Amino acid sequence: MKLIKLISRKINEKTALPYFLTVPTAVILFALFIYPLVYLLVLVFGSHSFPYVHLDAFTYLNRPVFWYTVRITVIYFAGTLAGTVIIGFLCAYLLNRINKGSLVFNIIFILPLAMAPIAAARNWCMILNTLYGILNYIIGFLGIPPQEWLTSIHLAVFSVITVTVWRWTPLAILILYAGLKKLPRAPVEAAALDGASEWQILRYVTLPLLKPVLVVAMLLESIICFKEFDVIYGLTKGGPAEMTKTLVVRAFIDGYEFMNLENAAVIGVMLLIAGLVIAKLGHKILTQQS
Amino acid sequence: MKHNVMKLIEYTTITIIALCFLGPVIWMFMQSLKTPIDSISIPPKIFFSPTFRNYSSVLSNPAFFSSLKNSLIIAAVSATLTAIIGTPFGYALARFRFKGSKHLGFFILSTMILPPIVILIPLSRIYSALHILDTMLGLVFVHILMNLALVVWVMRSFFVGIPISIEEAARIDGCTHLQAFYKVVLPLASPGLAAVTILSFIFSWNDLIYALVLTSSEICTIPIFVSTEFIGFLSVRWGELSAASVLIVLPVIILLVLVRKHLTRGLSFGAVK
Repeated sequence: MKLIKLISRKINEKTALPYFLTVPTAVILFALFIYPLVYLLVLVFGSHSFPYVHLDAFTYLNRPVFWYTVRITVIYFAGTLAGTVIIGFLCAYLLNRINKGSLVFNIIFILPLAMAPIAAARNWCMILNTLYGILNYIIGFLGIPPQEWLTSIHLAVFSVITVTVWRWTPLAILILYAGLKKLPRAPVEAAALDGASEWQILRYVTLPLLKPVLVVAMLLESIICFKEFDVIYGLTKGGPAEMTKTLVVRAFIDGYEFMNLENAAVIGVMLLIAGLVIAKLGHKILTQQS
Repeated sequence: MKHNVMKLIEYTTITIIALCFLGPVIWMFMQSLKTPIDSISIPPKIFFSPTFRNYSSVLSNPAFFSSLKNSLIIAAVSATLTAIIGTPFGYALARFRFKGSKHLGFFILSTMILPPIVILIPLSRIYSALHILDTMLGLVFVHILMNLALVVWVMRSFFVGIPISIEEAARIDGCTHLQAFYKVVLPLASPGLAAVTILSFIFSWNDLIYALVLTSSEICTIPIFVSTEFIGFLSVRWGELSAASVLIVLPVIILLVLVRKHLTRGLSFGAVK
């Protein structure tokens, strides 16, 4: 306490205080973020920094396997983003309309967020199992034959996207529901008085008013889909036949299971570029919001 | 009449969707109460005689407790340190415009946006040079980095919401600016601080990838334990796996329900209140 008093007297000046408050964060940021990123660039661009360099690292980008991975990443990203935002909006809209029991639904929608992703993924492995999984049992009642959800090259991507949507839609629900609750009632009532149908009110009044919150929800979901590792790792580890290997998963498996850090670092640089673009966009959106 | 039909449709739709979200959680709970035979029977058993054998075998496993202890220490220490480090900067971002503040704000945000693997590739080499691979200290450091953006941005949004006149009044009464911050503003923002610390704790508790890369044999955290312990070469002990999952998810559910009021704000970096 005495120390704080002493320090606070010393830096009473308005110019020094903000820097004093910034120092701890800046230290962490430089030591654990900026320095490693520079080191990553040195590893990739500096010659012979890898002891086992056999070829120029960036020829990796010319190989079909890289572009194949990019394609899977894009499919996964688009699928999860669309799924989370659309289902999230539907749930938030319905939650906002019903007046009884919304607390119960709210708590139910928090549950997937609470699950440790790895526990959730392992649990889904059990549900999606071809032989004894409950999902094949349930669709059996509808007359659909059992499917190989995680081991067929056609269905695996779909299953992985579905589980990610299950895990992360609640985030979109929470944000969009909070946004819908805050909307002014007057425009909706005015439109209803003028004889607009429910659909017209939703399309021409509610959605435009909700746009800023919708943008935030889409931003957060895209950050999450871009980073997602745990769910894919827990479900398929990128298989079958690399059908679910997104860039993030490939970087991990190349680097730490095949011990080919060189390839992993090249993918890392690509992810860094993509990430900085998203970060720039996100920074703009978030500073405008508050 | 038409109104009632609409209401019925709305309730049915949301109930069906909610069941889709709830179903897997219930199934996990049911599996945790089954014997090994019941857990993989064909067709799956909806009705069965419950047993607590899975729970007792997980709870008598010393590896479970040691990883529980590791995870608790790492999550608690890193969440506390993140709050201590990040909160002042959140305040600085909310109240001052100073040289470099915008760039730092951006860098902080990008720590949250970049996939962890990007930073892990160089960091694992740095860690091995510093001999802190496979130690709690190393994981604590990297979890601070993981949660710092969350603390900074959410606390910034809380501080922006506190009227500046309150701290001006405190300064007129003789406080220095720093005293006004930690004696007046900080207590007002304490619900937010508590919520964001709990969220950091949860993220650290659930983290898989940092632990996967930076630890191997010495330090086992709870997510690593769940992902490796029950998967054998030929079979998976689903019952015990589910029981362990239930045990580690339960405290998180309780914590999340506790911070429910600030959850939206916390998860949206303070953008949506």
